[in-house]
Order: sequence, then C-alpha cells, then structure tokens
Amino acid sequence: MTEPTPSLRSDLDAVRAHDRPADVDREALLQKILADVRPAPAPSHTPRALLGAGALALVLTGVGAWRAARSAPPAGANAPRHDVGPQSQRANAPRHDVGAQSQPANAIRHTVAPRAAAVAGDEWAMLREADGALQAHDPDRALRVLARHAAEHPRGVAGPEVLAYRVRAWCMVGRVDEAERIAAQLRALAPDSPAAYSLRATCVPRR
Amino acid sequence: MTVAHSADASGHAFEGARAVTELPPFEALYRTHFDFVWRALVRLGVPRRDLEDQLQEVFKVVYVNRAGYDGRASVRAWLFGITHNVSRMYRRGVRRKGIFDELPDGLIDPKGASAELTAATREELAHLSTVLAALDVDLRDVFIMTEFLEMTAREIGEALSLSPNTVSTRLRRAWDEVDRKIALHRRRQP
Repeated sequence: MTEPTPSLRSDLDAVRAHDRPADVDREALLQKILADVRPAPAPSHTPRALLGAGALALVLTGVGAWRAARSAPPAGANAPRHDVGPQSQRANAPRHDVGAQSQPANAIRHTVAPRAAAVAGDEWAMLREADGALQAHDPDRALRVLARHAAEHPRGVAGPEVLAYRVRAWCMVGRVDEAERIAAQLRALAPDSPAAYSLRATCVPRR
Repeated sequence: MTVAHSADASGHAFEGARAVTELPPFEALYRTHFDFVWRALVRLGVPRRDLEDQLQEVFKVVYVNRAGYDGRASVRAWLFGITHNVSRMYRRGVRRKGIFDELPDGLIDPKGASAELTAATREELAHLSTVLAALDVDLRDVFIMTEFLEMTAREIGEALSLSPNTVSTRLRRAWDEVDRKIALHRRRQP
C-alpha cells in the first residue's frame, strides 16, 4: 500500500479550478469561426451571372469533372491527392497520413507553402458552399460545387471532407450505389477520419 | 435507447445500453466545451502561441462534421477525438508515446492555471510531470484525461475504445504508481 498524497490531489484541484484561458475573447473567436465556416449565400444561376469569364471557366472545367465523377472510376482514382502545391513545393509540403485522421485544409496551414495555404482557403469556401447546399436540401448544387472542387483542386488537401459531402449528396438524391462507391473510397483513404466517422449518419452507414 | 458496441484493449467486444445524445446547436457546443477543448490542446502539446489557431481548427472541423455525429458516443469523447486529430496534424512528424507527450511543457500552462499557483504547488506539479513522463503510456493517458480534462470513465472509454472498467482499472493503477513515486521522492528530499 502506498502513502496517500493529499497535497498532490489538492494541487490538482487548484489546477482544475484555474485551468481556463483568461485572456481569450471567446465570443470574438466564435464570430471568427462562424465567419469562416458558415455557408456562403447560394450563387445566382441567372444567365447574367454566367456571363463573366470566370464563371464560364468554372462551368467548362466543372463539366469535365462532372463526367469524371459519374464514370465510376476505380476506388481512389477520383479522390483528390493528399499532397499540395506544384512539384517544386511538394517536396517540402506535408502529406496527409492516410492511416491517420485527415483534417480540412486549414488544419495544416502552419506548415504548407504560401500558395498551398491560399488554395486551402479556397477549398474551405467550396466546402462551405457544399455544406450550405446540403443544408438547403439542394444536392444537385452541392454536387456541382464538389465537381468544381475536383476540377480546380485535383491535388486538394480537403479530400476526405469532399468525399463525405459527395456521399451525403448522392444519398440525398437516392443514389445509394454511387454513395456506397464514394464511401468506399473515403474509407480506404482515411478510415479513421472524422469524415469517415460522419458516414454513420448517411444512407451508407457501414462498410 | 440504443446499444453501443465497442471493444476493450484485448479486442473483446462489450455492450452497454446508452441513450443517444443530441448534439446541441454549434454556438452552444462551442460555449459549453470551449474550456475542455482548450485544456485538451494544452495537454496534447500545442504551444501557447498557436492555441487560438488550433482551437479554431477544432471547431471548424466540428462544424463541418457535426452532421455526422450519431449520438452514440458522448459529446466530449467525440470532441476529444477531433481535438486529438487536429493536434496530431499540427504536430505531425513528432515521435510520441501514447496520446500525451512532452509532459513537462504540456501538463501545466504557464499562462493559465499555474499563474495562480504557489511555488510549492508548481514544484509538486513539476515533479508529477516527471513521474507521469515515466509512467506506462496507457496509464498516463487515462490519468491525464481524468485528472486534467475531467473526463469520465465512460467518455475516456469511448475515446480510446476501452470498456469503462478497463479505464477505472488503469486509473487506479496510475494513481498507485504516482502515489508510490511521489512518496519515494519525498522521502529522498532533505
């Protein structure tokens, strides 16, 4: 039997009693987070809105990705690669460990190259747009956004989250077979990720 | 009520009746669990200068993945999993044993709790850090999750895929070991 250490226990009580950040503006931080993650307003699909050269480019690249997404490639073939940036930057860029948990793009912003960090921010915007579309029960729009993501960020770092959104979108349109196919890609890519975990609440909850 | 399935360290499945929990709205989740996530990040080795950034990352992941929360695990176990993953991404490449490492730095936040503590208490906690650093990692993880993150045996069990009984056993063994080593240390002191 060992001696009890009451003072140590009271020390731990003291730590717990004061163990919170004193100099952090929680509400300001919350607003910052919400500004980053809240879905952007749905884009207008009027012909006028599509006249811009940027919009046209998005549509053209999106068509190719849309076809690719529907052509049922082998598992993993359509999944974004988890290295970032061009070849010259990739050597030093961190790679996602596919056996470990993968996180959305911003989770690695402290170490990725500046260009990759900018891309990551754009990926976040697309995730927000897809999330907003799904919350508005508009899976077609979500799939369009995600196809656009595949076209613009073929080496994107938000791969697992994108796949999870695609699963949810296909579930919403009733295409369980397609949802199952994408889910298999996600589970192979990042089996322990929160994104894979989130599949429990979809039409393909199990392997 | 649903039955949650998991497995303990030896791989044996166990079952327990458990109420499915509803996830509160995001803002409520943030306000309720802000301190918990902050404390977890500190103990998971995120340095002070990056705590706010990493805390934001955690809650962004929570926001994006909140639809996937199925209520079978407790909210704090789910949050801890996300926090652990974010910290792991942040500190990838760092070799570690167990979930918590670099204890002398991570156990006490110099700008947080310890600013309010006496020198004697700080010395005692510094020694506790040393003791924990040498402790079996399985025992150490459970000790820190219980004593510093104030997680229950059930929450720890869900986060680590252990049965609550295994968690309790490990905690008891951890305290036995800590008490023994602290007592030894005191006897050696002049």
